[in-house]
Amino acid sequence: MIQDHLFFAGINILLAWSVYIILLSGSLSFANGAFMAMGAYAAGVLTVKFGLPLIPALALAAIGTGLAGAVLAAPALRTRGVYLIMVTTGITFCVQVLLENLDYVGGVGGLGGMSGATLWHVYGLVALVGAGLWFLSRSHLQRMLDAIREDEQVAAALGINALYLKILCFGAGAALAALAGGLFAHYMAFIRPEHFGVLVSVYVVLYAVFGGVNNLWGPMLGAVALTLLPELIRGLASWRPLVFGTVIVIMLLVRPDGLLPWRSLTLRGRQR
Amino acid sequence: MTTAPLLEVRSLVKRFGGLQALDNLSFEVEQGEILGIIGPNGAGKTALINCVTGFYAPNDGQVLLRGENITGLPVHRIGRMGIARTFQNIRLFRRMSVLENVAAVARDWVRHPLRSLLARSPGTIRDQSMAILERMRLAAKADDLAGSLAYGEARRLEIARALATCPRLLFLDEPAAGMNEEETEALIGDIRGIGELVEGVVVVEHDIDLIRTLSTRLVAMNYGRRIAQGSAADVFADPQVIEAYLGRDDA
Repeated sequence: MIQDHLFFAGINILLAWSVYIILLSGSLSFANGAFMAMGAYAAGVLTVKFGLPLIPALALAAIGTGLAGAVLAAPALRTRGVYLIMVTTGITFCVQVLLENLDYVGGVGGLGGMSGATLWHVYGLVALVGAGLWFLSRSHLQRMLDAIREDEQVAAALGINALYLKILCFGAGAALAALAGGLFAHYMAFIRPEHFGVLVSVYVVLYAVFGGVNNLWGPMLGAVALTLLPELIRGLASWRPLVFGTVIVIMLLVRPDGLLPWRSLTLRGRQR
Repeated sequence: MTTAPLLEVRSLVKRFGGLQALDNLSFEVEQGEILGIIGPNGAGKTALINCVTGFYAPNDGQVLLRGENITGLPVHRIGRMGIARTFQNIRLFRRMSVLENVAAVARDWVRHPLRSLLARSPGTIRDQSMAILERMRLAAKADDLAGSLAYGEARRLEIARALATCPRLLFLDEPAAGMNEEETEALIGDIRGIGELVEGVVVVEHDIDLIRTLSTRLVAMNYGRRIAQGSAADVFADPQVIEAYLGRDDA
């Protein structure tokens, strides 16, 4: 029981970071449930039908989904704001329906037989991705991404290839969501398209926004808090979703920038 | 061998529906020049900057940088080729620090975003960026948020940020708008200093005093057309310019 909660908290941290990576360049993606599904099914097919070991299967699934994400991003990122949210939500719908009608992966019935994902895998990956994001946060690249997030047109006018970096972030976020999906599949042993509906995409964005999207710790805290909160209020039985929703609304009214809202400077002037 | 002018604008046309924002506009910017562009509101000055920097695709005509056709190139390519600009309606990266605003667009790294991930020498970029901030009298504000700057400082940071790209040609869109006399005076000194760093400056401005003191040559626009060019004395004596600014004397 405890192990389950820990596992899903870890998966949700990875998913929240997959949203965060895309948000670094200023795009809000509601397609990460779809990327998670693509990773889960791709890795599942590779281990179950092709007998690949878990790690290479995860790596291939991540690369494939990352490329698919980048290809989808190229046209999708021509839209902005509300329209981008609609386009990415559409991607989530499409992938779910596609999987439901693909007999090769079991259709609505689902795909089974995966195994082997452990807490070590998940938290090893959390540590690895966390370290990568921390490294990124201190790099010059993050400063360019921040500039794009602040004003994409101005960043471009001063020489930053904004579209390229946005597509890159989108692909990286898709790849990370795929890794989380692959691990999820090999822990659950059985997956169905309905595991990866629009609600998943919405939840993942919620984790990131709840925790705050100005530093890498925000999405992590948000994911842990919102994974464990429903368990803490288990006694409320069928009132749980109401309490859960109220907490989110109050939280965003009181702290609209998330639990950990600060943005640390990437560069400081000379010591005075 | 003759060298091509720094910038050549050839019969540029830009239409918005029925509105002719630029109507066959041609002019050149020569090496080392501070060119002033004047004209009443709606004369097409900002449309011109937007066409040259790739924000708008012109309907017709060409823009050449040192003889190379840059018409219709993506905005970031034009930026990298050496044309930088500021914005009339100040557009800073408000939630970043003053220093970060300048460092983010530092020329060395915008071309190699992924390589910058592995570069571990923030010292160089910091020193270069601080030097630019000092030039624009902003060094003391380096760690402040750009969004917290006073109006005049924000305008200077726009210029500092453009300089970080090491431009050959700098477009300043109404750099003195909203500044008082004292600030404008200081700004004139700043821009003169910049003239030594870049190959050319184009100042679009309403403030006639500023443009009269600063520019080596003037182009006057009205209704998207060039109505006069030459020295400040010539241009301000031109009947069409006087008419554009003061209206026709029908009395």
